[in-house]
Amino acid sequence: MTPTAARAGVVDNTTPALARSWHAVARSDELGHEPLPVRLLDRNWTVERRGHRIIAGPDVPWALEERYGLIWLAPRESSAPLHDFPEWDDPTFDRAYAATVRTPVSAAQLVDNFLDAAHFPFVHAGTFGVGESAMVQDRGVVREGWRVSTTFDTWYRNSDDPLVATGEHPEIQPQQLVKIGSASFGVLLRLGFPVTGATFAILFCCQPETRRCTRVYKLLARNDLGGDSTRMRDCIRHEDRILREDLAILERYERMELHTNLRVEVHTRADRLSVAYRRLLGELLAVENGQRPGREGSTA
Amino acid sequence: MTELTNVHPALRSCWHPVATTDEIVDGPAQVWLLGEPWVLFRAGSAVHALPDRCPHRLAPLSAGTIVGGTVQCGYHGWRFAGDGRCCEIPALGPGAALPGRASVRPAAAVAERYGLVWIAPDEPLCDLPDVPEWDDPTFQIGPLAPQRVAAAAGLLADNFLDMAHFPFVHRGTIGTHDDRLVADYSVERDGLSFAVTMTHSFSNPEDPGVAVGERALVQTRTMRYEYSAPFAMRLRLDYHEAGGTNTLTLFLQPETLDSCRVYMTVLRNDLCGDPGRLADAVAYEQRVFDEDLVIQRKYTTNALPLDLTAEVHTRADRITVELRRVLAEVVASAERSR
Repeated sequence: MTPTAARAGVVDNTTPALARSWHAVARSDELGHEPLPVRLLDRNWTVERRGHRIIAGPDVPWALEERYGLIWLAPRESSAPLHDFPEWDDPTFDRAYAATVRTPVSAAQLVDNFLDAAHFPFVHAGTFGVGESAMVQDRGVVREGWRVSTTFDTWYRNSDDPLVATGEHPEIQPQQLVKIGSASFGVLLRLGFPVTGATFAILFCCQPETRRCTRVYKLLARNDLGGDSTRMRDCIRHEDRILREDLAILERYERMELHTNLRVEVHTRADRLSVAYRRLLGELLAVENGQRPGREGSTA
Repeated sequence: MTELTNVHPALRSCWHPVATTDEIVDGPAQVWLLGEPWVLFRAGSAVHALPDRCPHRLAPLSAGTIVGGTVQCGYHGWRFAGDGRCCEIPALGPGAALPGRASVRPAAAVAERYGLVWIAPDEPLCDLPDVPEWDDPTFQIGPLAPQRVAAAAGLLADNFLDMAHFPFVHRGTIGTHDDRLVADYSVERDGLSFAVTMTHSFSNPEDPGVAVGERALVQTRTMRYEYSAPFAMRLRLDYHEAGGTNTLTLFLQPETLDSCRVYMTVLRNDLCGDPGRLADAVAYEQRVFDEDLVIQRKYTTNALPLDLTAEVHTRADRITVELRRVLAEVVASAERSR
């Protein structure tokens, strides 16, 4: 492989093909009736409320929408739809924003990291990661349009189950992770907990602002807190700590980019979802280069 | 190729210092060489050097930990032995067959010598430099603190070997107005190394024997410059009347296109084992080098020209012309063996 061939499949925060995706560009609570400057793919935009509408400037983007408490902007025609996050609008769920943070890690790397299930015992030993989750097993990866998904059956350290303290539940519990990665630079993670019966959904979205800056939004919705704001505050703190653990390793990278050329990295059977996500991004690049569009509905 | 930058691929086929030995306690530690990061770690008594990039997700292995004589990636726990072989992928479960592509290519050679860790990314074209004073117990060893300079290693080597700049650059230390004329000399070339020996008279006011009338002020000394490719230099001064030897070594680590790490050591057998006098000698060499840096930092180029027509050379510059010839030979040999 020549160096040029390897560079050809690289995705970073300035890759032009990313303009064909939906991107979160602000939280709803940040938006007022004055133009709010935002950066996306190294370009300046403004967004503002005008009456019941939101508008963007200085140019007219292909699409602009407010959903899940975020402002979404697609600069150019996007064939990838916005994320489905039904839990956010379900009244039986409590919802919250975890901290919105900035990092030099690229959006593609952050999404890749959020899809990955093999790093828990190493990166998250200080929070939920346990040795029992070292071996990774997925139930098969499904490709549907511009989404890839799988389910991982794994283990974690439950630090917010009140019945762990009383000894009624074990500290190390099984969990089921449904991960849905999208070409729109986000992941919907649905955590199912057989021991407590709870469901916890997280929408993780990354806004590629500039070459060396990404803004990360983490939206939380869970159905086991019964409106308890103290437990939600603890949950937010826990989720912020988990993200900091990921950033601690990701921010050590020299190059903030992801390779869609599958020969650049070594992939194993534990990485099937990561491979499918790279293929998805590779097809987004191909569309930009005028090649055939992505295969729809195939199994990766 | 008519010039040599700090990241020229031919330099892969040479030994380079990459750290002091005491900087590599266990590791993993990241060092830069020729524009690439390497991870160094100790397993038993040996130091190992691997590319600082896990082949799985390209995470720096230096962000990991040492586990049972292997380096373990901090991201997914892949473990690598000193020879680069991948020996564990936790996500595949115990006893799983590991893909052959999971291994990394270690440095072709690693050594600890002269208080430094040296690596050669590819099979080296020549040996480590020779510093006999290092193993001679009559010498005191005074390392200068390693320093990072935004410069091309080739230009710093050129400056160290140059004999015509003393009265202009080193007015505050070793340079005197009488030194302007560079006496005729010849260069002894031996493979990818060379030496120049000159005997000359000089004023030696520091000699205590001069003050008490034992010896004349004007004395004789022999200077011998030894160079070995790519950036190892040794200057040995032997004092005829007063006796004693003063040796200075300079080893350069071309880290990135714009950065170089400098390792210098003073070796003296004429200071009666006095640590205070050795510290003074080290501080003096630092002052001399600081004078060199004033002008070296002003260079806007980051390469040493290897094309002899790119600059004007005189007979005073035979030694630095030979430097360019040897480095051109390194480039040609590395390209032939590729």
